[in-house]
Amino acid sequence: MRIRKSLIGYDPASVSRELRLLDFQAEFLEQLIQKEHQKGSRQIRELEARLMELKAAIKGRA
Amino acid sequence: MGARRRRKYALFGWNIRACHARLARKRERIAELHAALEAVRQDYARKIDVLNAEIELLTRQIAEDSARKELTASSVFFAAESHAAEAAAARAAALEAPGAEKPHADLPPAAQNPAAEPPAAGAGAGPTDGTRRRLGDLLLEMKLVTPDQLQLAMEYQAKFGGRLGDLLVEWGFITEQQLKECVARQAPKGRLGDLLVQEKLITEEQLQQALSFQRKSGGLLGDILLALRMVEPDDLYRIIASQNNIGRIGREISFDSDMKLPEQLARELEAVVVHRYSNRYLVAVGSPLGPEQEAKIAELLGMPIEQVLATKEELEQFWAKQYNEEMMYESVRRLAERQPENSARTTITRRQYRTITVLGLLFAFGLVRDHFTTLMVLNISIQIFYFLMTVFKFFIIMFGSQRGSQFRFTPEEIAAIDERDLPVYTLLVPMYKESNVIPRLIENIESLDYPKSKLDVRLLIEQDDVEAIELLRSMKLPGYYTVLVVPDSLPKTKPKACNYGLIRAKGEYVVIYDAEDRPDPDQLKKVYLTFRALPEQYVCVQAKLNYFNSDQNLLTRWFTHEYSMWFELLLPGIMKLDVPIPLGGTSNHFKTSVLRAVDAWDPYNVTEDADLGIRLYKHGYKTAIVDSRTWEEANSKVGNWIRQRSRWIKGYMQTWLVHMRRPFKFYRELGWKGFWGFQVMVLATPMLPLLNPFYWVLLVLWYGWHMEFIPPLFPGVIYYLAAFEFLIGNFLFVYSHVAGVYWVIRDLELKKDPRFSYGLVKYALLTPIYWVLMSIAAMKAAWQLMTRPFYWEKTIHGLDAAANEADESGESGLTDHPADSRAGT
Repeated sequence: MRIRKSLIGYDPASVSRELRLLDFQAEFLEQLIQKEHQKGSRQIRELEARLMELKAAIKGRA
Repeated sequence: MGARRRRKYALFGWNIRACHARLARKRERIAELHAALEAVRQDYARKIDVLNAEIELLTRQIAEDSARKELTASSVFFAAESHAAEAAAARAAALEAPGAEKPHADLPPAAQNPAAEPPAAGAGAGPTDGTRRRLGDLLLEMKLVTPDQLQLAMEYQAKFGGRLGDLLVEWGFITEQQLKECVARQAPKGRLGDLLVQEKLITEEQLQQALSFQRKSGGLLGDILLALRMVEPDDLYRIIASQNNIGRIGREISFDSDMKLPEQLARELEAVVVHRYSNRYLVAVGSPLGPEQEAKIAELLGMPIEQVLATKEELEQFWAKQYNEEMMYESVRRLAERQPENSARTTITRRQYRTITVLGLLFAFGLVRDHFTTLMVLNISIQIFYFLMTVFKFFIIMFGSQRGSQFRFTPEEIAAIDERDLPVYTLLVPMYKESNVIPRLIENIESLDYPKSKLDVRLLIEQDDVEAIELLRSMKLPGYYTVLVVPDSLPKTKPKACNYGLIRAKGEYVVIYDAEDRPDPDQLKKVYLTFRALPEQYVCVQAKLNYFNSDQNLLTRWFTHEYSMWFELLLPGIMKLDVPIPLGGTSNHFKTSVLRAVDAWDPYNVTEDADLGIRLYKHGYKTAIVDSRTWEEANSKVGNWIRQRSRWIKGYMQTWLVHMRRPFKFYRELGWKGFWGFQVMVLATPMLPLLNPFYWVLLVLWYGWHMEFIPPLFPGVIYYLAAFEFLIGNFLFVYSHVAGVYWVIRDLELKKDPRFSYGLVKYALLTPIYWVLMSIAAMKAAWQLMTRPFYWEKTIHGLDAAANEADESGESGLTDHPADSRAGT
């Protein structure tokens, strides 16, 4: 196995490890993007609500 | 399974290629996901930024609207009361009359001058009589604004800062075009002095007086006017702002900028970002920035900036708020992080602990094995050490008494200085709970013979010293004083305060004075001449210290003898021999740039002055001694004296331990002369008083009881060595004290200063009693080094004044107002 690895630069165990890792990473990133969407849209909703309040306050004062 | 594996791993087979392709695809997918994540984040951040900006704008609008309504309500009320229409008409009539100076008699004085206007487009169209018309006057005259609108804008400007024209345009009272036309009608801006006279802030005579000072000493007119207290900083900066078309900072600043400039740039440009509007940043500046500098900041911040001029004091406050973290790093952690090998943050390193343990074990083993021989060997080593230190010290003193070991200047040489060449000089005065000496301190600084407009006096007060802060605030000090409140943090030491004060020091040279110091008036000029006469590598000049209350009691007399020997003979000798100088705690003058480059004082070292002297030598710099004295207060109470002395001795021990962490490397850095000079000055100073008591006990035991174990400890030549030290060594030490004080008295006599009399000399014969006190302090220091290495033993100052007051009132002892202090050398 060691000879084979040194000859072809190919270690099946590490390849399968890397494949698993990449799969996991992709899944994680997809989840992260989802979360960023949720977080961002929540923040925007809150800010928009605050903006509406302020606009209403200005209209009220006028 | 075996066949499958074989196929899979087959050389040059498609399985390998397929695996590689699969890996590559997955990596591509990951990269895409990363990019997508970044895009999502940026997209939301942009949207959120826009919403935040809108919210901020609306919030600001609401606040401004409220302020405006409030002000309008009051001005309407005011107008109704005073028949505003008639008043406006009268003002308009007055404007027509030639020489009308104050058309807004009913406006608040602070708002009389609209601070600044936009750049004068077509300024050439202005009147030709040279008198500059104020923007507010012109706007009224042109009937572009009503008096109420103008008053409102001016009130707002006084409160929140900015430019009057901008405000009027922003609020829709006038258009930008109208503003430009109005500005074009103004006469070109004149010189600062003329503007101040025109505004009746100074008289013509005062201006001429300030100009004559400027011709003599150079410097900026504004600084001179502030130094002469002819104008208030607020008025001066308002006019400078107006002259440079920028705004002045308002009374109320909402310090809420989310951005700050890199500290180096901010320091270089003297600019602090204080507020963020929706479309620009408000930047407080110490002096108006040029277009290039302004563009540089705008580029960094990503938005245009509006400059507002701030006084020195205001800028310091903004700075402390904005850059607190950086300032604490500079004053506390910088040295320890950049040069850990030179910092006393760790008193004893592991390697030193190991060495001490090994030596201790060896000694214990020796005692167990053959206690007599061990003690004898120890005694022989100590006797040799004593002998070498005595001889070396005496040689240093001999060198110190030679001509040329101090820099001397005649009054004629000092008078010949062209004051215009003198650089700005920073005076750092750290103090802690010494408010009783502040009036005297100010008096002493005022008596310095140096152009005041070139002084940058920084009074460093600890945050919890409320009394001093209040007192200084109430004193209305001249413009060249800056009161800096050092934030409360550990270690709470004088070097930390000095580092804090140094950060924004403006001087080319910097000096430390204690609060009770009375430097000779010509000291700064003498130091300037010394630096000028010496090569570049001389970066520090130490003035000599002595005591103004030498005749208060026996202790102060002994202290005077010691200081006279130290500063008049020993330190000049060290300078002549070119070995490291342990600096005195005050009156050491530095080239500011070099001091910063070597990371200034070690806040963890309780004799930071001595340590700095050694570090400067390590870096290849040199120190000179100048023939100028600073008069300090000698400790007159034994307990207080022991506290102070134990701190000094502990500091010397700390300094020795710090620099001897790698003795061979240190030897290579300093050379043999520097290395042994360091041992004489820094090791012998705490060691001799520690060892003395053992030999005094042996002496008493021998002469009292002829103890038989004593003679064998001094075999052969060692006996003669010890006898030499006992008879000749002690004589030489007493003699050096006599010589030192005689030296000072003679020198003062030649200068016709009757401060000391020859009667003081005889007390030097009692110096051995003083050594007993030193030994007590040394033992206390050794104990503290192990238990509380960074603790700063406070010295009480102002005891001489207290004693004087008590004498005058017929009481004895101290008053109940002793101030404690970290200060002292």
